[in-house]
Amino acid sequence: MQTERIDKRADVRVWVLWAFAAALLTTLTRNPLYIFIILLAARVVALRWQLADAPLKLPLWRLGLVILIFSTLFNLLFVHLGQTVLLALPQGWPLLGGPLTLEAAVYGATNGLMLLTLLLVFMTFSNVVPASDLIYLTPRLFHSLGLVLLIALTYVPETRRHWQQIRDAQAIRGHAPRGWRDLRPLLLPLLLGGLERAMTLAEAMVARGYGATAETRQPLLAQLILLLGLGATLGGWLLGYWLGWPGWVLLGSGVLTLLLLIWTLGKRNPARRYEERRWGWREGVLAATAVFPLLCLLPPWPLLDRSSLYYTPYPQVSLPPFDPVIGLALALLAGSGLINHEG
Amino acid sequence: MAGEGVIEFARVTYTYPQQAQAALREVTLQVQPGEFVLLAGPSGSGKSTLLRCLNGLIPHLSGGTLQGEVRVHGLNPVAAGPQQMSRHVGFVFQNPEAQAVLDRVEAEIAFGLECSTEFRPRRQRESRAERVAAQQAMHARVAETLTMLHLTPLRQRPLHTLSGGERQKVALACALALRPALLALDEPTSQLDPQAAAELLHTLVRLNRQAGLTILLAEHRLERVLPFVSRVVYLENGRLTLDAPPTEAARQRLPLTDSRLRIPAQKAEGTQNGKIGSVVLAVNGVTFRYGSTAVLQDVSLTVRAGEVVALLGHNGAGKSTLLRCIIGLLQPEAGEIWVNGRLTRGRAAADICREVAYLPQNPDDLLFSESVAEELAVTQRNHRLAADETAVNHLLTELGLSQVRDAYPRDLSVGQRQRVALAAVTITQPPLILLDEPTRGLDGAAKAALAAIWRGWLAQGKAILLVTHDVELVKRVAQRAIVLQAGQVVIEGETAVVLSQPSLVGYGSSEVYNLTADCRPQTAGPIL
Amino acid sequence: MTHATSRAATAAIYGLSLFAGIAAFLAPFILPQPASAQENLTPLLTVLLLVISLVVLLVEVQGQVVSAKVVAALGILVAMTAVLRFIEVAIPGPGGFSPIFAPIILAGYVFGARFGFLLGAMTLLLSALITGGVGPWLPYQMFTAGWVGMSSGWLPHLKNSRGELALLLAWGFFWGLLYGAIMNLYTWPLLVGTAVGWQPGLGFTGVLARYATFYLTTSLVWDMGRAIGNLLLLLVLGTPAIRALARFQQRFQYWVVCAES
Repeated sequence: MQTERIDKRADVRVWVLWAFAAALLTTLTRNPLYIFIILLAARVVALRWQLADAPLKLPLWRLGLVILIFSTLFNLLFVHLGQTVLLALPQGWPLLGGPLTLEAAVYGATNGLMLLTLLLVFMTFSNVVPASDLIYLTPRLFHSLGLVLLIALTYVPETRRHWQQIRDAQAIRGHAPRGWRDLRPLLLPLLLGGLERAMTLAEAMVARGYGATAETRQPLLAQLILLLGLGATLGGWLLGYWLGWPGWVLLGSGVLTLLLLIWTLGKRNPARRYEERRWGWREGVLAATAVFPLLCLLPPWPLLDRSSLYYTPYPQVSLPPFDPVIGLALALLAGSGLINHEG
Repeated sequence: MAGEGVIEFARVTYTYPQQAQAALREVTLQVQPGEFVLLAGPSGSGKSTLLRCLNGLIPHLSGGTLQGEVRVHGLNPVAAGPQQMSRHVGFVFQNPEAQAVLDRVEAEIAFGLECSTEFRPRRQRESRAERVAAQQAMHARVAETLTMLHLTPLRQRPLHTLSGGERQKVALACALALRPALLALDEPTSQLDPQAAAELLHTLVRLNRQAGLTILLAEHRLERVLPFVSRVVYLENGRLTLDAPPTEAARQRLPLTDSRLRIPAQKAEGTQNGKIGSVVLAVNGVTFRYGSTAVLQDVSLTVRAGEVVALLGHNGAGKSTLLRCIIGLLQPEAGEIWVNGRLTRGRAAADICREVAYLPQNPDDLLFSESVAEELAVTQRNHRLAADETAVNHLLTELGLSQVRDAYPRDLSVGQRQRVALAAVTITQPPLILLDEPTRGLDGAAKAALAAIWRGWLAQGKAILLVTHDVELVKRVAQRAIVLQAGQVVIEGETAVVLSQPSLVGYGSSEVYNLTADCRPQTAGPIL
Repeated sequence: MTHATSRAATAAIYGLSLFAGIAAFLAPFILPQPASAQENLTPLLTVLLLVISLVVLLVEVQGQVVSAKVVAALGILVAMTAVLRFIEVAIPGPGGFSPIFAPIILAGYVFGARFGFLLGAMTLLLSALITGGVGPWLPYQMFTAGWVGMSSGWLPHLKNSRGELALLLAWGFFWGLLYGAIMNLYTWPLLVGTAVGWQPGLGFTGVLARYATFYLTTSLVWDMGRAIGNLLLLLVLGTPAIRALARFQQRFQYWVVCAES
C-alpha cells in the first residue's frame, strides 16, 4: 500500500517545469478566457495527482471570491478610465471622486482572476509534490541548507507534539492563558527543549559521519564572481528597460555566470545522494504538457495571431477575443490529468 | 602502542570546558573483539563521557581537555576525527526523539551512507555506470540493514508515526548501516517501555553472539542486562572502580541494584500512621472514546489517603487517557470521577488540579523560570494563592533542594529536575498526587530519593496514584496495583498478589529478561 | 590581509544584494513605462532579479554555516518558528500578527546576522513548503524575513538589560510595520495592474501617492496589528529567551585543548 503510493510519484523536476510554464503563461496574457482555461487545467491536474497527505488545503473558493471582489472594487473605485459610466462620484472627493466605469471593474476582475490562477497553480504544485522530494532538488552547493530544511521537516511533528505536552503540563499546574504574559510558560519550555534537542541532534549527526565540524569561508575568487554576476544581473535589469537588448544580454550573462559558479562550487561537495532519479515515459508526457504550450505561445510564430493575448477592456468594454489554437495549447497544461498514475 | 583490543584506554583524563572537575580520571580499559561490556554507575559518573571518547565526539564536538591515550580499532579518535571514526564505531543515543535527521525510515538509514567516505566518488569525473553502481550498493546496504533488524515493513514509514521502541531500533539500524566493528550505546532503553527495552536488548545480544559485534552498553537498569554481558565496568565520579565478569561483579555487592529503594516495613494494612484513610480519588465506571474506538471502558478504581496505588499496563492500554480524565483535560463519556469528595464534571482543569498534583512524564515541560524558588512561586500565582516563602522553603528542604534554591532549574541533574517539577506541582499541598512514569531515566540513587519523599507524604495522609512500567518500583512502594488492558481493569488487588498473576508474566517483571539466555535467532536470515 | 579582503568582499556582497533586492521591490516606482510587448514580462524579470540577489546572499552566508551544531540548531529553530505560525495560542493576536518575527529577531540578535538571515529565510521557505504556499511571492517573503534576522544581528549589544529589551521592542515594532509596507510592494502591482499601465505618465510621485492610498486604506491597520503583536511577544519572551539562547551559545563555542602524553 505504502510503496504503491510512493511509486506513483513523478520526478519533481517535471512538476517544477509544469508550474513554471503555467505561471508564466498566466502572467503572459490579460485575456480572462485564457486565464480561466489555465485555472481549469490546474484544477484537473490537482484532482488527478494530489498526494494523499497533501499539505494544508486553503479554503480556495472563499479566498478566490475575496480576491476577485477586492480587486474589482479597488480598481472600480480608484481608476476612473473607460467610457461606460456606472455612477459618478463628486469630483471633490479625494481619489474616489470621478466616474465609476464598467471597464475599470472588468479590468479589476481580470486581475483578480489572474492572481487566483497563479495561487491555484502554485497550490497544485505543492499538493502534488512532497516537500522532502522538493528539498532533494537543492543544488549540491546548498547541501547544508537543504539539510536544514529536511531536519526542520522532521522536527515539525515533533515540535507540535511537544507543544501539546507543554500545554497540558502547564494547564494541570493551574496555568490558564488569560493574557500575553501567559505565553511565557508555554513558549519558553518549547524553546529550551528545542535547543536541548539541537545539541543531541548535532552529536548524532557527527557520530554518523556528518562531515564538517568547523566553519569555512568562501574563497575570495568565488566572492568576486558572486559580486560580478549580481552586478551584471542588476545592471542588465535596469539597462534593459532603457537600452533594450544590450541590457537583457548583460542580465542573461550575469545569471549564467552565477549558475556556473553554483555548479562549480557544488562539485566540491563529494556527498552522494541516495535517491535515484529516473525519467520514464510518464515524466516525458508530463514535460511535454508543460513545454508544448510554452513553445506555442512564447515565440512570435508568423501564423499565430497573438493580439488576443493582450485583451484590454479600455476604452470601451467588449467581449474578449478567443483564438482556438491558443486555447487548445493552454488546455494542454491539463494533459497530465489524463494519463494513468500506475502507467 | 597498538594493542590487540578494539578499545585501548590508557590513563585517560578528560575535563569539559570551563569545568574545574574532571569527568574522567585516569581511566584505563581494554576491550577485546566480541565482548559485550556493561558500563554501569550512577548518573554523572562519566559513562556518557567515556562513550563519547570512543568516536571522537569528545573533544571534537565538546571541546575541553583530554589527556592520556585512546585507541579504538587501532586509531586515535582525536587525530582521526568523528567522521572517520563513524565507520568503526556505531553510536546510539538515549533519546529516540532527538537523534533522527530525516523523516522517513529508509532515508534516515541512508543518511549515514550519504555522509560516509565509503560511497564517495573515487575520482573527480566518474562514469554513469560507476554512479549507478554506487547508488545500488547504497540501496543494497540499506535493505540488508533493514532485514537484519526486522525493520523492512517500516521502510517507507514517516518516523513520527513510529513508537519509541521502533525509533530506537531505527537509530540502531543507522549506526549499523556503516558496518562498524564496535557499537556504543548510551542508555538506549531508558525512555522505552519494558517490552520495547527487552526487544532492543534481545537484538543487541543477537548481534553480539551471532555477528561478533563488540558492544559497550551504558545502562541504569542493571538487572535487565546482567545475564547477557561478558563484563561489567563500574564508574564512580569519573573513576573506574570495578572491572569484572558479571558474577564477580554481583559478588562485590556494589550498588548494582536499586536496593536503597525499599520503603521499610509497609504492608497493605499499615502505613506509619497506622491505617489507610478516607477515599481521595474515586473513579466510577468511566468510559472514554476517541472517535469510535473505546480507549476506556467502564473503569473503576479508588485511591485512599495514605496509600500508593500502582497503575500498570502496556503502552496504549489507556493509562494516560485515564490520567487525563482525572485531571479534567478530557471529559469522560460516561461515569463519574470524585476527587477529594468533589465531582470533577464541568470543572476546569486548573480548578481540579488545586486538589491534584500531576507530574508529567517529561518534567522539563514544566520548567521555565530563572530559579527553583521562582518555579514554585509560579504555581502559587497560577492558583491565585498568596506567595508563601515559608511554604516554599519548607517544601524545598523536604525535597532536598534547599541548596539549589536559586539555581537555574535547567542546569540541574535529571533527578534534581524531577524533584523541582514535583515541588512545582505539589506546592499547593494537594491530597492526591498522580505520577506519570516518575522514574524514567533515573539512576538508583535518584529513585531512592524520590521514594523517600513519597514515604513522607504518605505519612502526612496523602494519596499517590503511580503510573509506571517499573515493576521493581511497584513491588517496593505500592500497596495495591491495578492492571489496565485495552481500556479495562483486568486485575486489581494487593501488589504481591497482582504481580504474581500468570497473565502478567512477560509484562514487565524480571522474567522477561531471562528468556533468552541462550539466544537463538528468531528468523533465519543474513546477519552482517 | 586575505582575511580583511574577504571580509570586505562579504560586506560588498551584502550591500549589493540588498541594493538589488530594494531595486526589485521598488520596481513599480522606478521602472519607466514599458513598451506594451514587454509589459507582462516585468513581474517575471523582477522576481528573477530578487531570486538572484537572494541566491547570492545564501551562497555567501551558507558557505560559513556548515558545522553540525549550526545545521542542527538552525533546523530545529526553523521547525519551531514555522510551527508557531500554526498552533492556536488561545490568545487572539491583533490583525496581521504573526509570531514568527520575535524568534527571528531574538535569534539574529544573539546568534548573529548570518544565523538570523538564514532563520528568517528558511522559516518562510519551510512554512511555504508545508502549507502549500510556494509561489512567486516566496522570494519576496524570504528576502524580507531574512533581512529582519540579518539586521537584528547588527543591533548594538547593550549591557543594561532594560535598555536591551527596550531596543528590541522598538525594533520589533519597526519591523512589524516595515514588513507589511515592503510586502505590499509585491502584491500591489498585481492587484492594480502593472503600476503605470493604467494611467500613462503618472510618474514617481504619482505612483507614490497611489501607493500611499493603497497602504492607508488596506494595509495600515493590519500592519499595526503585526507591529503591536511583535512588541507584546518580545516584551513577554525577550529577556528570558535571550538568556536561554546565550546559555546555549556558550555550548556552541568551545576550544579544543588536546594534551596527549
